[in-house]
Amino acid sequence: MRTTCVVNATGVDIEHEAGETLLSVLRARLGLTGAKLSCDMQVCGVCTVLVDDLPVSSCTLLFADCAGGRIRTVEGLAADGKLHPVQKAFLSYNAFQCGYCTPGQIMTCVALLEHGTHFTYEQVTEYLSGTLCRCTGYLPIRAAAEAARSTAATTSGEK
Amino acid sequence: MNGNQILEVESIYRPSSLPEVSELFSQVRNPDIEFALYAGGTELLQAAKLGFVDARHLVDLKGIDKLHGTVLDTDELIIGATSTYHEVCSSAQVRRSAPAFGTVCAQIANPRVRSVGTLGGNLCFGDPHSDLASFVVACGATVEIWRGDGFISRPLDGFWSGPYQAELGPGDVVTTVHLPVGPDVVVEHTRHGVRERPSVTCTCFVRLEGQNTCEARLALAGATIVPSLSVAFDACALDSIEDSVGIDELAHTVATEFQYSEDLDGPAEFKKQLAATTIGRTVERSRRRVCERQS
Repeated sequence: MRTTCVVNATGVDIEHEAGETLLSVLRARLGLTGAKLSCDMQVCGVCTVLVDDLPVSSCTLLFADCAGGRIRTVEGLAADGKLHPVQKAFLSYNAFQCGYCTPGQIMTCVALLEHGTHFTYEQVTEYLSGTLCRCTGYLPIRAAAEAARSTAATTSGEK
Repeated sequence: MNGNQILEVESIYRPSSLPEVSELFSQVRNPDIEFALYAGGTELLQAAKLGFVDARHLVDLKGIDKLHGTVLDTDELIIGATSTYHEVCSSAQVRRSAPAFGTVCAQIANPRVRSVGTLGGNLCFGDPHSDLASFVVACGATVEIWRGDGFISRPLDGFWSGPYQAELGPGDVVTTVHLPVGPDVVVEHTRHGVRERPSVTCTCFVRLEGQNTCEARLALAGATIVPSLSVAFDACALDSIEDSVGIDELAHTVATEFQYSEDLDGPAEFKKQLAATTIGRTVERSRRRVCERQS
């Protein structure tokens, strides 16, 4: 079957298997390998991408269900050669080691901050807790997320 | 790519109305074709990956308008079955009329599941560790079901005959969830779990009439074989509590009513103890709020 949608601001029209997941299309057909396969059951979050501004587990979402949607992956974050503020924060805070979960962590942070910057530290922690990391112990990830939130809040005039 | 990233799906049907769903079921008489209704697919597709369900012929319900949206109708919140958890907890209507329900939806699994998973899917899949089950049962919620030639209404108490067994026939479509609400309603919900799905949930629903407690119900899920309503817990039982010892005694009495499952969360005896503690905490908070309202 064919599905049409927008991936990282580019319209795509893809011929694919009916039961093919979004993750499979992104990686195998579009060469967007930032999102990774790990648990294959929506638990770990390393396959996180944004569909219509909401984080989804691309490992368990049919690409057919993305028809007409706007998909964003980590590859689409930087603009005009400049890193996204969340990417910059992850670099500043050394919020990765092996890097396998990093695209998922970053997209989760982006999703959170696009819904506002008024979240408490505990709320940020709770939101990020659904994306697992075996390397860092989470503290640098949380620090990066909080720094990105704080910068965004300052920029937008919120506290 | 490793993992199961290409599911065995032969066809995806996208009806735009409920009669079209029924027509699909009546026209295709091949016994080898089993339709699987879905909206978000967070439960169904996961089960299909594990080989537990046949997802070769999917029926996507997201295109049916009747299944969307949230409406407040006097003392009832009517929520479309294909509403995602994110939509429910973001809804201004839910935040005003049933904030406790919004909080329950906001705590389900993780943000990714909340973006895609739906109310109807949760209830129809019948996971014994559902976050929602004890809440809807305690509140006396009902579902409207499309059944071929019309709608019927069923209470969610008794909706499941066993784990993963919602009492639905082929072609039945849960269209809306009807949740009793009102300024005279007090709902307390407790959720406990170490994994994403709760080990136990307990919900206490109280309806006041002036200074009087006219209705009180308590439901337990997660630790039980099916979500279950307590027989012993009612308005009289709640009103008769005098102190924390009374709460404890009532909680232990209520905990003995239920049939507990044995699974990864532990043996039945452990679950009964867990349930008693959870019930006690829920009742304690409910009693405090009721007393505040009555004073």
